[in-house]
Amino acid sequence: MTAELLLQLLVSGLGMGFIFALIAIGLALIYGVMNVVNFAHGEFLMISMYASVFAFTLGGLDPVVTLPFVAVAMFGFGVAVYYLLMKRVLGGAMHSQIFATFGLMVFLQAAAQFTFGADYYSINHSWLGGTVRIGGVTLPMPQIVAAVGAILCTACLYLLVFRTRVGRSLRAVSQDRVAALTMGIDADRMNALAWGLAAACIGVAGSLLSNFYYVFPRVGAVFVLVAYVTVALGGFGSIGGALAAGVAIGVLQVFSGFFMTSTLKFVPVFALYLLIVLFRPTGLLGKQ
Amino acid sequence: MNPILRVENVSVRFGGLQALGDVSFAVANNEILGVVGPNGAGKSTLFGVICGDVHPDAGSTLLAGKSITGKSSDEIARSGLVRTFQTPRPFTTMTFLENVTLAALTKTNDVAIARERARLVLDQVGLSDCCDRPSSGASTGQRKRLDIARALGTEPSVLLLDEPLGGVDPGSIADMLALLKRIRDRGVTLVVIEHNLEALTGIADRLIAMTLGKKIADGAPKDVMSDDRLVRAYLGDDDAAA
Amino acid sequence: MSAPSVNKGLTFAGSPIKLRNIVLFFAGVGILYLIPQFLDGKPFELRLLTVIFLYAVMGQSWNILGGYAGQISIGHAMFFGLGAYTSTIAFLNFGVNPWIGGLLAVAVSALAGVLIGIPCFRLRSHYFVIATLVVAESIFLIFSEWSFVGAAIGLELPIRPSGWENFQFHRNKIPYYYIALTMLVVVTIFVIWMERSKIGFVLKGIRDDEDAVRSLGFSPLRYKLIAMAFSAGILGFCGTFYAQYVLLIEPPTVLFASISVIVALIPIFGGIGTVAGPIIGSVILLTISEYSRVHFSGSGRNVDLLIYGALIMVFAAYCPGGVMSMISSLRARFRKGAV
Ligand SMILES: Nc1ncnc2c1ncn2[C@@H]1O[C@H](COP(=O)(O)OP(=O)(O)OP(=O)(O)O)[C@@H](O)[C@H]1O
Ligand SMILES: [Mg+2]
Repeated sequence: MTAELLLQLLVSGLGMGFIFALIAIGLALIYGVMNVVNFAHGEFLMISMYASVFAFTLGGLDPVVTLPFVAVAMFGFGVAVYYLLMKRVLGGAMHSQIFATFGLMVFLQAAAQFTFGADYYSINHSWLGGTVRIGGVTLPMPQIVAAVGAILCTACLYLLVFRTRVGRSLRAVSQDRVAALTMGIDADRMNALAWGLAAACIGVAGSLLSNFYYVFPRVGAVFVLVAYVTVALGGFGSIGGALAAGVAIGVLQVFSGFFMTSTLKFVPVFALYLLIVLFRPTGLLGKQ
Repeated sequence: MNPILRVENVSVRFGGLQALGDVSFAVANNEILGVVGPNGAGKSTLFGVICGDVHPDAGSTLLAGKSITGKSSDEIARSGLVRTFQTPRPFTTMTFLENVTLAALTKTNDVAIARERARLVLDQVGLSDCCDRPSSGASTGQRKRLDIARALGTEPSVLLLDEPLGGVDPGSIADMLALLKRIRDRGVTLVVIEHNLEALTGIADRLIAMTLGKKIADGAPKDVMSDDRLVRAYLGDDDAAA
Repeated sequence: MSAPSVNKGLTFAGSPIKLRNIVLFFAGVGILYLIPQFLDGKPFELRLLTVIFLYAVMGQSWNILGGYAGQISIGHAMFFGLGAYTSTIAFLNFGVNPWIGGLLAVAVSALAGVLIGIPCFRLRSHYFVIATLVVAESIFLIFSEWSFVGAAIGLELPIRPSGWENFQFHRNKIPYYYIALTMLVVVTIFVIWMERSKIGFVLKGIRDDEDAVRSLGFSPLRYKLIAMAFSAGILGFCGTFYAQYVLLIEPPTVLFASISVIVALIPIFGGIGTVAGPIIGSVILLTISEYSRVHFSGSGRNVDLLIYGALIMVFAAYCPGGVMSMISSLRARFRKGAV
């Protein structure tokens, strides 16, 4: 294996890794604030990918242009899901919490299948097509943009969560819900905000991903399983952990894809999940 | 004295906090031993260690002369040492009777026999009116009794009770104490954590006092109660820690 | 010495049982065994009832682990798929009779369940759910690539003459109906027995508070593994039945996530942790999906899943106890009204 190939794999692994991280951060945010796993998370990704792809093929709008709109629309969608669905199951049995988002997953997937069929759609010749050569290494442009975009988005989210008043309330709720409530923080609004932010992150991830990945009804399933693993490795509810684990998994997945058939490239990732969760049930970086 | 339960040099750390430091004591057969000490003294942690829920960093525990250190909590319970929790934990989708029937099934595979036994136990603890009521609707006092009934259902030889009087109304305390005495009269050894010192001294044969993870006194109830280290521990005197 | 019993009536597994319920149960079963006489020339209805029975059995088996023991699995397709593959491979490679193959399927699926359960049962709530998803997806991916099991193309069972000894029936499909119905009757009686037995008590205790069960002296792991073995083993036989019924197994039809979803959804919809729940759930959901398949046939548009998804959300949000809890609250209201 040459140094050049190694570098190429590493860069594309990092590119995917930051996308995984972005998806996983949304999941971690919802879990942190509400103790709920969003099983429809992958379908949020699918929706934003369809939105970007159709804006491009029908309206000629490049994902770079539509990204902010997709993110804002997804924010609204996330908030709506909270108020219409999640709020009702909050105090209920664990199985009803699991199945609420699970039903949403089945519904959104079937809705996409119903509307668009099982066909694969993708964006050809976007503004960001092609490759760039940096120091003798050829790198695909869309993946570099994805990595940069994901890093920027993560940075913004980080600032929001750790450097603002709203972010502090959000963290307060996730650390000690009861205490936060007695301090007068409106938990309902924080929950809605977590769902909105998580969905907006997914909107960004979907837009970036649509530049180089095809979309089909079950596309979310591929990414969300990896996102679960990411979140579990990073410790449920930990944003920094999700970021680190996402990047690590991105790299692992690219390398294992290089050594075995690409359909099986996630199997080592899943195996890693089981191993780590068994020996450290709260995740690698989670609190004990 | 030939102790049925022996705790030797047990220490537990939670991160930076020394929850138990070198605690040793023994419990004689068929004795009622009271454990007292202010909040956070490490009493519940001590129960956790004895029952196998908390793994001690050092020290050992022996039941009837055999080591139970490091054994799983279900194994320890099967060998006759059963606890109740500070916050009662009824099986909320079951009735009172079903709760105790489940416990009695540790001793038999026949549900009919277990159910009859459960009825007897519920009668002993004064809950026979509640048999078919869902346990989710139980009051605090009923929950405390149900927890004890459940533990009795397993026919233990040693019973660890974590604050059996906690949340019990003053009018029912005498009943509860009488119940504990009856349990002892059946041959069960009792270790009882309790903040109601007055009630506890009324039934305990012996007391141990703890504060900040250390055992500070051990002996006859009136001696321990008058021990100024215990008084200081409860009053939070600064000298107490020194 | 037998304990003095307050109830002089009939008992089953140590608990009293009403004669009326036994009579109703067997009368219902008797009618179901007679129904095929009237289904001559009605292949759609015959198929509908057969798959309703099959999925009711699958729902019952999920319910043992998910409903009674409270261990929610969204990967149960793997046991169904493993069963289908086991008997089919045993037949194709070693000429093993499919009935024996079905027993092998039970053994293989149950064993797989135990092997997966030993590590995964250390995990709680979401961690367990995700672990089941991840294991099932890994098995799906591996079977899609593994040439010994036909990889993505799957395996085709060769046509043999119709007959009970071959577990294949071509022109007249009524025997499949009888087999599925018998599976349902046997499994339902088994679940009723289990619910009342010691195992049932311990499983329900684990669902409510695992640590409290342990503190009484039961090993939760042991009982969860028992539940898993029952649950996975029954699904294994369902897999064999499916393989013999359709004569073609491919990863997307027998191992796919949608099977895991429907298997869990049936008892949740009908009433999680109840005996009647999976049967009610299967009747309603399979009727919806079979009719929607006819009306939107060939489009591959999955209208049934669209409806399922909506139903799951509505039920999770408004009626988490499923149809059974609706029935019992209606009954309570009716009683109050009558007094
Ligand atoms: N699992 C744990 N992790 C970290 N710290 C713990 C844990 N369990 C107990 N502690 C700490 O150990 C100390 C002793 O707790 P413990 O519950 O044993 O006290 P206690 O004597 O039972 O008090 P109380 O009378 O309030 O019940 C406390 O400071 C408590 O916060
Ligand atoms: Mg305590």
